Amino acid sequence: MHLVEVAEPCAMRNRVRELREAHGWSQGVLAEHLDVSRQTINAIENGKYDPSLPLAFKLARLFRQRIESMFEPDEGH
Amino acid sequence: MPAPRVRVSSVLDSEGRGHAGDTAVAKMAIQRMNEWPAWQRWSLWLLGWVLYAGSFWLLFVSAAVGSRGVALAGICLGLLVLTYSSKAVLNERIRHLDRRHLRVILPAFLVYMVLVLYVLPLEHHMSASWAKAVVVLSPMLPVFFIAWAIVRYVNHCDELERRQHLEAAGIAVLVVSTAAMSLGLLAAAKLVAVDGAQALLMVLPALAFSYGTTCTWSRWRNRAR
Repeated sequence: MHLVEVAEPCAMRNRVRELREAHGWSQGVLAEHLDVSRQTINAIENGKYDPSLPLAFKLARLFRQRIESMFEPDEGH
Repeated sequence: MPAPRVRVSSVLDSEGRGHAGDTAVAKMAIQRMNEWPAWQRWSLWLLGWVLYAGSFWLLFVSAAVGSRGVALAGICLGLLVLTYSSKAVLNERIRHLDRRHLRVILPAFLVYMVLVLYVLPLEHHMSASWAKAVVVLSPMLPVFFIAWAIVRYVNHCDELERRQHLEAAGIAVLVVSTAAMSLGLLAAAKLVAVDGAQALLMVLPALAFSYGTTCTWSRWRNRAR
């Protein structure tokens, strides 16, 4: 039986960690900006969880990126 | 811009006295408990458990009103410390959502304990009547209130947390229902003696335990930074 965090890797790759580190933010600070828990940021960065469209748009807006430049399908999956 | 780090030591001066604006600083230090050193967070978590378990022990060994009052206060304080430190141990900040949830849950839990300790025993001296039913069902009022508070809390969680709660609830129902069915089969075959009333009373605690354990496990796996 798989729980959320041990679910199979999702079919999306993202640049959340790269962009967050470029801003010098911790996961906690990014979580505060987006009003989510730190574990949600951690799960997104590690590819254990795909964010919903509203959260993905919030991330893109926060980092001033186009959503398709932040998230892309993992072709190798 | 990274959030400011606030240390507990900044709340008090060198002689342990408070200073102007202490409440706000202390509040911020508590909200940022996740930034405390690991040993402080774990010590506080252990202290919470000691306080919680010790108070329950005191509640069962002493029938004096005074010591029961101390035990109830200890249970509430233990729950408060445990809730905050558990978040901190999992590297999570204390959100407004968590504080609001506690403000509802703690008084409701206190009312529940008082009703169970002081109102429920009154039924021993009552004959079967609607008044007895009211007395016996009185602890359910805070239980419904707590259930409502949990539903409101889950509704305000973020999307991953809601999914974790949903999975935990599903797993808890599966665990408890299969355990109940197994016990029922054993009792029907007269291999074990089961008191029906006791078994029914255990359903909610068993659900809460399975749900809490699964939720904690789920969060534990995502604690790493």
